[in-house]
Amino acid sequence: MNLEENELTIEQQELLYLISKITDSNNCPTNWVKETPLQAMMFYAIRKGIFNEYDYAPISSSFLGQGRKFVNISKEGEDDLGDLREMGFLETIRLSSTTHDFITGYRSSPKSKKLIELLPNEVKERIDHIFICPKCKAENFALNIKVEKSEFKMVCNQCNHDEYIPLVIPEDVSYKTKAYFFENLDKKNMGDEL
Amino acid sequence: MTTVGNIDDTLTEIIKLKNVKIALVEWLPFDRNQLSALNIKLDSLHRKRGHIVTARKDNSPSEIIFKDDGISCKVIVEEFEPSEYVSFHAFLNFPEEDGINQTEEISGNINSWGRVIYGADLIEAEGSIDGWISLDILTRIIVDLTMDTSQMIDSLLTEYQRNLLDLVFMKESAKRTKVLLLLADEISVHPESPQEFFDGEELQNELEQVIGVLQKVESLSEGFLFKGSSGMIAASKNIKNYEQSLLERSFSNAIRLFLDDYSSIIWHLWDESRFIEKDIDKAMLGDITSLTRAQNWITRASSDAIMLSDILSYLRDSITEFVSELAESDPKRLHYDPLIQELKLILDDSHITTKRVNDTQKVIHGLESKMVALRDFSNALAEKHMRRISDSMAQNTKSMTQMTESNNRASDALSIIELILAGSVIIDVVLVLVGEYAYPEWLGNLFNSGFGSIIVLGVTAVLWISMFIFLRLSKRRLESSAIRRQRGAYVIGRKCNVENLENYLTTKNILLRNTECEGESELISVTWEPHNNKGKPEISSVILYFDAKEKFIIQIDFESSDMTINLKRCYDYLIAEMEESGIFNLHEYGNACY
Repeated sequence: MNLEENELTIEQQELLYLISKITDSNNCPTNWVKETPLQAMMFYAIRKGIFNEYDYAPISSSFLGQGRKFVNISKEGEDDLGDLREMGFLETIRLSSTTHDFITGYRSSPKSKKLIELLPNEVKERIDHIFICPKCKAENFALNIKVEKSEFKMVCNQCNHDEYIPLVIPEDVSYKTKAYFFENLDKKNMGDEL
Repeated sequence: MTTVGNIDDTLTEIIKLKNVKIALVEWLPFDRNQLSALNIKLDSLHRKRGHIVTARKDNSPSEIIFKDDGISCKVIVEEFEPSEYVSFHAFLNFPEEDGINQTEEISGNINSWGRVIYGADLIEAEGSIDGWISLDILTRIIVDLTMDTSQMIDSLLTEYQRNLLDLVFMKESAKRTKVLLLLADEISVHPESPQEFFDGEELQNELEQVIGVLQKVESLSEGFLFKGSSGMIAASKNIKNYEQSLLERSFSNAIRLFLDDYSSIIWHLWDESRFIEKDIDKAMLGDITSLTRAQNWITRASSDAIMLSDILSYLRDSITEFVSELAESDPKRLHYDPLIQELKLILDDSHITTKRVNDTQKVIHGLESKMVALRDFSNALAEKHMRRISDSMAQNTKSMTQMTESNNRASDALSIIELILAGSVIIDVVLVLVGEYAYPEWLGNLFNSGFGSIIVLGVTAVLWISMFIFLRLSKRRLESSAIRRQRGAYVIGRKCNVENLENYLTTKNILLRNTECEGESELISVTWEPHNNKGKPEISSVILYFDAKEKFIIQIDFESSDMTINLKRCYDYLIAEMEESGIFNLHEYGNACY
């Protein structure tokens, strides 16, 4: 098995390694990473300059059993998750949550084990880097979630340094609109009035 | 690749639209009375002047000045019919981040059956050139407009309507989504076939970012129509021709979107009811806190079910009105309108939606029946608990009466003893003064005088009574100091490890242990006197109630003679001591991966 045969893009390689790292697939083959924390990690990585071809946009979605929120999701990332599944490198699991909705779990498949070993070092290093605390340089920088506050943070378990991940905060742009009245609505209503 | 606004990423912009008009469509629970109230709130009769609107209420009628929340949204009514519709012009002015400049003017159209349409003509945007704007930027603008219009319309709704929305959107109604309709004059990408937009890569990703899962792409005159799960994009030189049919389709989708959230809240309620059944089971084991929780939930869920039924009535009326409006539209249109198939589809959609509403109604009925059963069951359980408490109180009252009677008898006997004791003390005093069986000379003289013996007898009686009073007061003082104490009674309601509990009790100075067996339960109460070492709260006695068969600690009572002590601190201390003894350790951990 080699990378060329499987034609994985750099982003797909990074995504596969990220999932394998989060789930610690070598040591714990029964681990799965939940969809929302994975989206948070992808969002964090994009903002750190990894996943070069991905961007993200706020998309309305049911969020951790707390109703709808606008979540910054990468469609390219979602698409690559689908592609990796189709290629057999990722497995998914669906389970119901205590908050009465369904969540998807991801993990790297046994088929991907050899491939992950063959991934270029620079790909691995880029992903490994996001788990290194920028302050104390310890490899203990991990995702921490407070569901009730919809709060996502990367927290260093050694020095307690943290970085907030604005997953559910849409970013603004400047713009200007003027009111647009739909003619058919006005005509219809005015007709009724007359 | 471009960097825009405060976006912390470079955007890959593939698809652009020219001269974009944005329509956001939603269904809200409205009827003619609600719409009439809205027109009154907007002061529609004085339409041209306009008002700044707010959701705030005047809760202090006697105050002269009130403050707003710093967010202003001005609404000027353009056209209205008091109980039929209102069309307005809104100027949204919400706080923006540094470096962001937004001027949001939108139109709003609300009718009596809940069709709400906001319209905005995008005249300028960061990163746009000659009216061309990318879908990546548009996504952010749409999200901003979606949230801002929700905030604006919420300030116009009645409290009741806001409660209905809070129920369906789980208190996140400000972030509810709306059906999007983007109308543009041109699109930057022109593949040979509409199917090429389903490339599974860049084109499809960009479109899905805005309108959800891409379902269909059709050709329009000099353009395309993209249909997604949460909206549509139409780009054509003759876009005006499609406005009406697209708005109708969007409203149909808005009802469907609302129904999705509505259905999920019903299942949410249904699932919760299963947890409440478990609470009721716990209550049967004696955990009264579970019963309280179950009853609170049933009260809330019953109110929710009533509101869900109300929403359903609004939905039904709305669909009926919508369908009749479609049917009553110009009959000639049926012959010449090229979008006739679309209209038929909308009508079909309305029928499907009606069927979904009917199905939902069945689920609500099921839920209501289940809640009635749960309520009856929990009431029966509460009655059982009450009867048990009542029996226990009757037993206590009987014991108390017996104790009081016994106490009274003892008290009477004590009073007699006091009387005799006082007399004997005084006789002893008199004997000390006068000498045993002999009178001093002065007393003999006194006795021999006319009233001497009466005076001696009187003095003796006065001394006797004084001594009796002194003894009575001393006894009362002792009694009052004996009853100065604080008592605490805390419900624990936790599963326990009985073996560890018994080990814990062996370390205590047990004064009393009662066991009552009834059916599947073995209720045990244990009373002990804690060792009051330095640094520990001064607790004089503790009573622990637990069910040995169900392995369940029910309650702990304790007393302290220290009137200044904090009872919660005593409780925390006792619980911490029990936790330390492993009383609440129920599981054995395996070698799982963490």
